[in-house]
Amino acid sequence: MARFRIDCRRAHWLLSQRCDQPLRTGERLALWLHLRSCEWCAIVARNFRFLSTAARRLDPR
Amino acid sequence: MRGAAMPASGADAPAAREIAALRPMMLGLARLQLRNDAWAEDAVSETLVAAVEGLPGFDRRSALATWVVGILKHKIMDQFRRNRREISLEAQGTLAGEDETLEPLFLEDGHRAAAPLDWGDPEQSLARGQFLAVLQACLDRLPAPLARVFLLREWLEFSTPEVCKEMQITSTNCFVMLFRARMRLRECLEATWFAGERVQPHG
Repeated sequence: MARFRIDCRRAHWLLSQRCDQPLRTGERLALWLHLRSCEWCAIVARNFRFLSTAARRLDPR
Repeated sequence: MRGAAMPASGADAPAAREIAALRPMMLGLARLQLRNDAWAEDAVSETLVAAVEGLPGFDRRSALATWVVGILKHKIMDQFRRNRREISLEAQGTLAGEDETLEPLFLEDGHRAAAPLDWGDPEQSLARGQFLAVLQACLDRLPAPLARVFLLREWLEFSTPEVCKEMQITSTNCFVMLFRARMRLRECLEATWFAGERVQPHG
């Protein structure tokens, strides 16, 4: 699994990319493994999702 | 046709007034996406005309405002395409003029330099009307090309290849712009809305 190890900087970039296109399998696995072990990046992942949800709510309801 | 809806007759008159009352909201959304007052005014005027003319065919399966905003989104894209050359040149300028990096966020070893703010439950924030006003203000503060690209992707829900095509930029540049937009929005929201939510450092 060592080859799928990534740092927070790489995880951050992948989190942004994930909002825009499906990640490649290796990237997806690396990100998943990283998010399981890094609480701070898991928070950032939730924040990215929040931002997308919020932008889609700009419409009147 | 700026500032007023086309007159409607008979049973459609109250709905036409309701549509005209949506104008300020529509103008806000159009300005946010187009970042040009004249283009936004034109998009809204065209929407008002199309909506009033289309009222007899409106089946009321959705709310009037939702239907009108649907029309507005098409009119915004018409404006976008009419002014694409200018928009694309501006985007190139933004990319050339900025050299933001992630360095302040991360240590040399690639770990985060500081704990991120936990934004909590999105539904809770989104249920509070002011949050969307703050988000709009943060979008307003973005450089125009970054706001356009972000809203094309997230508000108008274009796929990334479509965003690149509409902006006439390469996919690499497109990703960089989307990334920068999200970074700046995060910073702005954290400074204005989420301040005080920082999590405790972990060991």
